[in-house]
Amino acid sequence: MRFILSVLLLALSAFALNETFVTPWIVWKNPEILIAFTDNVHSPINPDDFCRSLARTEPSLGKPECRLAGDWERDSLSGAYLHWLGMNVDARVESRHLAARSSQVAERLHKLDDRYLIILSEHHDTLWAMMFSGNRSFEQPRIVNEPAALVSIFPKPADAATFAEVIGLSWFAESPIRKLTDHEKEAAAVAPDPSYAATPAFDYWISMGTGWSQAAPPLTPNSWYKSRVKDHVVHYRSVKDSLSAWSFLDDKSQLFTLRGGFTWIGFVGIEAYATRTNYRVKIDPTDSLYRELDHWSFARYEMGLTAHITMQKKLNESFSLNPYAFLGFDYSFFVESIGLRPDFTASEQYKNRFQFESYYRGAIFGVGNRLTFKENYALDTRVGIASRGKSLDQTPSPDAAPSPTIIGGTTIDCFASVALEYHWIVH
Amino acid sequence: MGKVYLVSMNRWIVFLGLTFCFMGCSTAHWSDRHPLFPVGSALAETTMPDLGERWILVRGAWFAEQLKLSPAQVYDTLGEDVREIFAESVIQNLPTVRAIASTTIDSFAPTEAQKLDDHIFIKGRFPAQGQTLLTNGLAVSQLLLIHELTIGPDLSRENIYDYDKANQDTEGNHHKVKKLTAIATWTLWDNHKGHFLVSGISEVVVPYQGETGPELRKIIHDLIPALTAKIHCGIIGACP
Repeated sequence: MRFILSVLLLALSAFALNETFVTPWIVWKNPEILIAFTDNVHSPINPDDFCRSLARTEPSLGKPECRLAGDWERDSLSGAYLHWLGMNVDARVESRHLAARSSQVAERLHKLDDRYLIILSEHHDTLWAMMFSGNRSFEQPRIVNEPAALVSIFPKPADAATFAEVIGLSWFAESPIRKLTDHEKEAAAVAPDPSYAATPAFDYWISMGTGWSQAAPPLTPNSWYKSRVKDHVVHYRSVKDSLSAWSFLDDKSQLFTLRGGFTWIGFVGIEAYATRTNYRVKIDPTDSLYRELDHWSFARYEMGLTAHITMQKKLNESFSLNPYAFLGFDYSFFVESIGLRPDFTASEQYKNRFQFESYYRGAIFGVGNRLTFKENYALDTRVGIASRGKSLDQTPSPDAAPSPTIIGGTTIDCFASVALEYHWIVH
Repeated sequence: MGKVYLVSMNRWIVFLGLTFCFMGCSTAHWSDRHPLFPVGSALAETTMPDLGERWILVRGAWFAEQLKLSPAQVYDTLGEDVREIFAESVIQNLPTVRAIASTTIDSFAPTEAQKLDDHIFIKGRFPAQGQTLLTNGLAVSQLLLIHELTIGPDLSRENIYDYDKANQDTEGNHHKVKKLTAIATWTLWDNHKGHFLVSGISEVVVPYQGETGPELRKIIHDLIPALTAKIHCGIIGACP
């Protein structure tokens, strides 16, 4: 919008404004603008006219105050600098080539604080305008004894009002920000630098969350688990491949989780967790054998310990991000929930139904991100993959009889969860 | 088979060559040119303050031993010679340049740093902003300022002016002297507009063969041609 407007205005007024260099600055509401001239300016503009026209061009600026920087012209050092600038403005120079070298002039520029200093110079029919301001007017630290902008306007605007229109659209069109009061400036001067804030020694938390767990990790070939997911339990115990629990159980479930952990100096830490998921057993409902069955499902409880590495990225005063990666081990066991319909007695097959092992253990890893608010509250999101199985602790002897496959001996699923956390910070 | 091998070897040679070229070509800039420096012009109407006391001798005791001077006298005695050889070289190589008293620079602004590259800085005194140096009431168009002349055995400008490679001081390394070095930091200054035209660091190195006196004379004498070559390549815009 700003660009279109300035192009429109420049096209209408037939002024060519060339930016040699421009470093963006903060536009203040009710700005204080000082105007100085190099000694080759023949028709100095009137600051009052400039201000009135600027306020008309950019109404959002509020009440700009403009005055001549008389002290700049009277002081011999800054006067010499103005004289020097008049000789050295050129479309080929960089800002460093126009820097004030005298320490007294540099100090004067530092003292501008949130005021703007516009220095004007004339060369034949071209008007050169330079913008200076103190450190407070820039978001990034910079050398303030260099001009922040150098532009040339051709042909030279006839009066202060026209100049204000051209310069207002080009230099003051950003939405203005309220200036700090003297009291706020004092407070800002002694405020601690957040970059030097100490990292807490320990960050403890407890959290409660929910999520979703399923056998199939997204974006993986369906053929990996198709046979297991499509399998059914026949006669209460028979499946095609008993190695994975997903041959018996419907693999998708909502999960509920409780976690607690800590991070040491914002870098590494340990977390313990417990998760509950619930799975329906996959039976063929058309099989008359299952008519006696009212419900049959397994709740899986999983407990584990993970180690994580994390980093902190501060977004602003209140919010920070902690992306992390974790790796750990887990123990899980199934709790069966089964019931017969009233008026039915249990069949032989019911009595000899399949049984899971008493517990399984596996590995878990994943990545997550924690959005922390005010150090104490956080929203945690994580994704991961976990395995549950039975590993052989001893090498089986070659004489041993071939043992049947362990039911659920290799069960892998993935999960995604969100959790609310409460943190305690120990410095 | 042999041909294929040769072709692949050629590729390797080209690749390695390019790599070394990039490594070599991306070295530090030892001079800086102002964008307004008039391309194609030669040194014109230039004034040069004498060297004066702006020279430094590294390992003075070694020089004293070689030149059979007493360590207390080496700076005074050698100083006379250095100034004389330098002035002679200016007259020989830059006949149009007019010498003025070295004390002229006392009227300049206090010492400032001038940046040549991201980590290469020189220090010197320049006329203050808005100040034009007048000699006999007239302003010459250019000034050639020698900020510092450093003479010593086994020196290199990297170790003195490159802040990345500083603290590798060769003084105190009492190994056998292999070469003699003279390093000058200088600026060609636009006296009318009051800004630098070219600033640089030039060095002259000769292998040390035991003839301390003549070799010292040679490195100081050769500094001016080295420096002028740099100014001219600044004019052309392509410094090696």
